[in-house]
Amino acid sequence: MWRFRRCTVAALCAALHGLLTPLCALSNGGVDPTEHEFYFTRGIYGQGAEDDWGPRWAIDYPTADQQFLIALRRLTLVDAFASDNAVPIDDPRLRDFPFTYILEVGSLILDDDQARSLREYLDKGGFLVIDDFWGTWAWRNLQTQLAKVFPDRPIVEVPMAHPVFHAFYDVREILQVPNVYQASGGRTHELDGYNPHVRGIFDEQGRLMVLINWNTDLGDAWEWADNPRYPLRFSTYAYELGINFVIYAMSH
Amino acid sequence: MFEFLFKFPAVFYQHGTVQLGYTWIGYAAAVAVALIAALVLAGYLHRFASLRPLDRLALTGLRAAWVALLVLTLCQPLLVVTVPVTLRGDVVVLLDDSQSMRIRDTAGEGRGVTLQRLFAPGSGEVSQALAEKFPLHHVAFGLTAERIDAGTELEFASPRSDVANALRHARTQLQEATLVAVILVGDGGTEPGSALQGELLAYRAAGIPVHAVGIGAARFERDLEVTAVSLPPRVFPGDMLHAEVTLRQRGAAGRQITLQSADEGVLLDRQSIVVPATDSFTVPIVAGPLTEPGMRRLSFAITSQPDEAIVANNRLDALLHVASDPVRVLHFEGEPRFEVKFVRRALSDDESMDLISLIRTAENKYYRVGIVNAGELADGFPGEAEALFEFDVVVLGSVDANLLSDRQQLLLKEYVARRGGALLLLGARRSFAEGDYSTSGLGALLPVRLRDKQSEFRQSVVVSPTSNGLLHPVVQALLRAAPEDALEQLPPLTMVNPLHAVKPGATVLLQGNGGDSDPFVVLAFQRYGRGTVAVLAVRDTWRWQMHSSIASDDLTHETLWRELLRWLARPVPARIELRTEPRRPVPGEQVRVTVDPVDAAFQPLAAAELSLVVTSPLGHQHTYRFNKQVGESGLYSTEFSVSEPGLYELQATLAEEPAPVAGATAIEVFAAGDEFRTAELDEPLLHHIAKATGGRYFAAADAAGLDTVIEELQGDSSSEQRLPLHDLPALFLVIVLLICSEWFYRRRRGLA
Repeated sequence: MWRFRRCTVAALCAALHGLLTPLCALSNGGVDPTEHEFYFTRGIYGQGAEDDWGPRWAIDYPTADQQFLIALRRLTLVDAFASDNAVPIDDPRLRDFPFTYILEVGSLILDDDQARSLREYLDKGGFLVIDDFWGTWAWRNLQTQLAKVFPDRPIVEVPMAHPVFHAFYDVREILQVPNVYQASGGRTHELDGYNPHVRGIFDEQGRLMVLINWNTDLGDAWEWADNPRYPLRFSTYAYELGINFVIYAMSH
Repeated sequence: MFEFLFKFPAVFYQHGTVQLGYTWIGYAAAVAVALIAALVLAGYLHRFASLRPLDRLALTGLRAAWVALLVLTLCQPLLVVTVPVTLRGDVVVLLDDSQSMRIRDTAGEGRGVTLQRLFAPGSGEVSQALAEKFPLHHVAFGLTAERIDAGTELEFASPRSDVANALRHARTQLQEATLVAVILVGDGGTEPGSALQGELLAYRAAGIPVHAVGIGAARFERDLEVTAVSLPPRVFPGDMLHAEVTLRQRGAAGRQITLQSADEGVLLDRQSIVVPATDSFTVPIVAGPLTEPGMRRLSFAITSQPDEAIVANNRLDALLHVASDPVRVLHFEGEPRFEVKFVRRALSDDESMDLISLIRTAENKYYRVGIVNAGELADGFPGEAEALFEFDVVVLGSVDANLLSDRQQLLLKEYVARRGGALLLLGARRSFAEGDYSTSGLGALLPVRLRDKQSEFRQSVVVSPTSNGLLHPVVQALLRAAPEDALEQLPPLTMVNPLHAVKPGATVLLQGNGGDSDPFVVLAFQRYGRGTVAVLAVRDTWRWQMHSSIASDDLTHETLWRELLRWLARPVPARIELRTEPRRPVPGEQVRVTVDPVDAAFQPLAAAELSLVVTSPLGHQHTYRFNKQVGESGLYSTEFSVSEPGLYELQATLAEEPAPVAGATAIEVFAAGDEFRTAELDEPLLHHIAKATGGRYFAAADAAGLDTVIEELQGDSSSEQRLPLHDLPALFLVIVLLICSEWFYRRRRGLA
């Protein structure tokens, strides 16, 4: 019973938060892209598609982003903008930010303009991190959407020897990072997403341009890292992996 | 009889003066002998004290007389006379036997015909006149010099005329003491180098005048010539060819000609040019790209005109080294920046670039990208010369000067000044004054003037080329790649270092306009010692790649980095650089190869084991050993002779552990040398040769007066003769007569 109440309250709070913060982000005229070297940029997509948690793109937003930036600024020399920065994925302003993070892509639907815009962004040197989507159904949707962006480039498993796992921290295994509701024990997966994967799309030069965290939820680990009940093992891993992504994206 | 007794004619004694020629040693000897004589006389008088005074006087007088004469001979008596000298010494005529004598530019007559008409041995008009007054010798010279006799036909086939060698031949092969004049006949086509100057000094010192006779026209009526080609020291595969071709025209102003550039016979560029009124003009060429590595033979040719004096000078070949070794670039960032990623992207297709990125990601943590082995740069920025000097270009991004130790800063200075490396500094929040460069030793290297630190400064600027930049290959390449050929169309970039002024000697190529201030310095450079220091003072060139206004196929950003780093790397010296002499050798000539190898720290090698492999045009290989040059620290040389026209490839190898180090170059041997290049009569050089030795210059038409001039020059001279008198027969007879008289007188008086 206690657990049920806790989940209900948390869900209500999250829903309220999820409804309000995206509105704030959309009304934001944008940050000055020349002030800092790095902006943790969250990609906005499917603005009409909402559920009880608000728009799917805004899950964990902005706390996860801000929490991650605290660690990034604390642990590395990256001159990072200290706050969140959400930009629509088909907005020309996205080109000012070569690092973009999107999640919950099970509901991602790209039209032709968005697909073309995203392809140009990535071909020009942008780096896309996809996170927090689970199961076969979501994977198939992502495959379909990414095929619109790169019909000629396959999605492949990123080997553990790849520099993205060693750019700052030596990450030696892929963990399944659970959401905050499933972190206290028991199963860590959602739906049929039993095994975590880090997959990617490489360009013709062999450079990693899209990084896909499937069946795992780094965002929640960042968001709830200050929650004593969230396991340190997962949040530590999520921060290590996230920082590696940033260092890699800035140097490859 | 007088001459028998006194050795010389009486007139010598009438006009001459008698002097004693003793030196101080002779003088001392004479005094000693006089003293001994005085003692002998004193003893002599004492011994004959019993004789009558008259006898004593007679005997003493006789002995004193011959002793005095004997002392006189010891004092080296001389007869000094001054006589005019009319010596009939030798005259040598040096005849130019080179190919340029075939040019027909002297009133319809070939230069060689004129030369033969005037100076052919035995039959030439001037030679005959000279032979009547002087012993005359003829020497034909080209690459070598050889004495010729009457009837010898000159072939005018030598590919080079070496005047210095001909003068040396005349001075050393004939008796210098009897040489009264040398006549140099030719068009003055020779290398006016140190060898010639040394020879002229030798003639000046010996008092032998060299008279010069000019054959040919001092200015062609109509001619076009490719005079010179200026090429970069080396290029890299994929580089565009940036050349400057210097042309010379005579009587062709206003004509339309075509200039063609080719790489190993394959057309690179063709330009139509209207010849300007100036005698000499330069045509810039941008063509290519040059894709094949190795030594490339480029040719630059202009279309010939029907009435040209010389057609052979319408083409000039030049060798260009397209380097096969990649440029080693170290990009060091004091913090993670997107510039690293985008610089790597810009160069990713460029196989000529070997880029290592060293990024300080945390206080004591470095991330290395592009390294070959795990130990490379493991401790961060190099602290030893051997590790730093292996790079051709070092790029410093957001690197606070305090991040580098004093030793590392000193190494960077030496890297540029002594090693000849290229250093590029980027705009960033920890660069220039904002990175405390103004208070560090690195500030002296920079081409820009630093102001006070302004950590909060930030300004977006629109980049545009300066007037100097428009002439620079990097900016020219950038303009070709930029949308609508204009940098102003590109998105603005960010400056966080307010740089407005450069130091004297520095050149600004790109400037940035933004805000209300004067233009900012965006791209500038200066030479520092043997190397180059450049600044690219914007923080985010990657916006020229990523910005939404940049088309997918736009290559402006790639072009900026590729051209900038290649340009910086081109003049960076390798550990072994070969130099060859002469510049354009001809068959039969000795080629001297000189190297000054250095170790990994670019210090001269005092004892190096160096060899040279020469591959001839026919593919034959010969190995030579370099010898250390005496008196030249760290300099080694060797020589080989070239026998046939074509390309000779040279590779020098330094034996070193763990692997030998090699350097390569090539020379092209031309059958005709430079005989038809700059082939007008070089009157200034011939004037100089004559003036420097006390001789005179003659046009061919005035050469008939040469014999008179040589005579006049000799008639002015006179000689002081110092004739010895100590062995006069008359003196000997008088002494003998006096001794006999004394003997006879004593015998008469019954003395012993």
